[in-house]
Amino acid sequence: MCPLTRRNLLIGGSGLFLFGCGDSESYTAAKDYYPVTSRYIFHWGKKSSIKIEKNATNAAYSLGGSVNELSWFETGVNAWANTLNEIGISVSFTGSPDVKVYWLNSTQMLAKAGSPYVLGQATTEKEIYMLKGQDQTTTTAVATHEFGHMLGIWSHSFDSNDLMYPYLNSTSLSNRDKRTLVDFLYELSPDFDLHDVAGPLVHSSTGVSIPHYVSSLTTNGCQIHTSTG
Amino acid sequence: MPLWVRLFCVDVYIYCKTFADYLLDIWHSLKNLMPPYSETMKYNFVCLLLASALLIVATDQAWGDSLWRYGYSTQELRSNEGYNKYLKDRYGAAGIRLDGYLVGVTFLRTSGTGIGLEYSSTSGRIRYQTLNGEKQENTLDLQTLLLLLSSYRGNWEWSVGGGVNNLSRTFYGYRSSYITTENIKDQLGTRTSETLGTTGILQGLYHVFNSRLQWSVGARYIIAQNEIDSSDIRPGHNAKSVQETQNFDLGGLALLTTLTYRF
Repeated sequence: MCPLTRRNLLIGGSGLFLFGCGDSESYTAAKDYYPVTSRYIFHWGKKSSIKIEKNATNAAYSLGGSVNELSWFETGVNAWANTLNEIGISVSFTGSPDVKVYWLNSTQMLAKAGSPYVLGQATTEKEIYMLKGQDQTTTTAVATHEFGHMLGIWSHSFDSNDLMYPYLNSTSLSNRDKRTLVDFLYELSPDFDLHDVAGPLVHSSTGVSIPHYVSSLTTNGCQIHTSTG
Repeated sequence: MPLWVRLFCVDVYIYCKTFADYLLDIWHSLKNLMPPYSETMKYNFVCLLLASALLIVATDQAWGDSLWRYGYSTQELRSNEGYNKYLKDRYGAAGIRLDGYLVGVTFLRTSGTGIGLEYSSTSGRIRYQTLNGEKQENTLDLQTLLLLLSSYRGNWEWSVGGGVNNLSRTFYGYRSSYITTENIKDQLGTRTSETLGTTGILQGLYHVFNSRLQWSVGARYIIAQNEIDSSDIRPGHNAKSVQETQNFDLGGLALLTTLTYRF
């Protein structure tokens, strides 16, 4: 048997020292979702359906969208379709609507949103307002972004590679956009199921009145504020 | 006044002055570390220093050698609660390792006790792949200044210590759960944040070589917690992704190896 000498200890200790100084090159798989709320969680729940009236009109907003605009809008919304399929949510454009989409000209948008530069606006009152006369790329990206809010993301990404970044830097959904929705937001218990939201918001357990969220995507980025409705 | 009393006073004066010089040197060399500490923290540290000095002086009458030490320390952080758990959940960083060097000086009493100061700088990192497939690295740098009371028995050295620490975190991520165009500049990219805390240790070292040059191995149990405030530029977030104040446990068991020269 080999006797334990100081020399052996020194060699062993040096080996341990070098091991300690060694460096691991491995990268862990992060779950670096972006935030989805500053307080309350809104979403539609898994295994549900969302019906959209993409060309809603009323007395105030009767213009409607052009054939192209409606098609581009649908494309923008459908960008989320595969992701929503993962959690059993289907989106359709027929039937009694959960979400209404109005098309406004710049004068109407100025009156509605307080700025002629608003390209799209979404609210937890389940309405989306789209600015008419934009090109295909813009209309599609605005539709995807605003529908992202409508799905329950009432904040923004911190990374410019994500479509839910407050500026429209990207025109397609990133993996983080998709994972934040499926693996994070829809794993949380909602304070409000958007199917049930109608009129003023009152928290079911606390009885507290809560203002609606409103996101306004402008040519200079997206703002989220609250409205008493 | 008897001669032995005068000699003792001179002896005490010389060693106190030498010790104070060492302290001031270290203090000034750590200028970048010291300014952020609160007055209360500095006051506590000085009180601890004085109390320890009194304790040492009260237990013996003569100083022996001084020990100058350089060492390497490695430690694995817990990941079970607070900010540690947040790092594990968000970045998959279970068991972050902090390692680095330590330097210290200890003044021995002939009775086999000593009082010393130690500065250590350890660092760790979290390497991760984002959900978008990018490779990112967050870093942790911990600087600690400790006052140590040590006891020497044969080849064994036992110490207790207390002091202050400065944790610097350089993280990629976001600050507020409410991200808009107005605050996106605060959220963007990699930011460095510093927090201050206190540290306590219990330590045992075995001198494998125990001559004028010592080589020692051992372990220390560290108690250290830093508070990461919700207003921090890179705070922890709760299950809803809303920022909240969390405790970061920097304690645990560290393994040490040191080289010490005895003057």
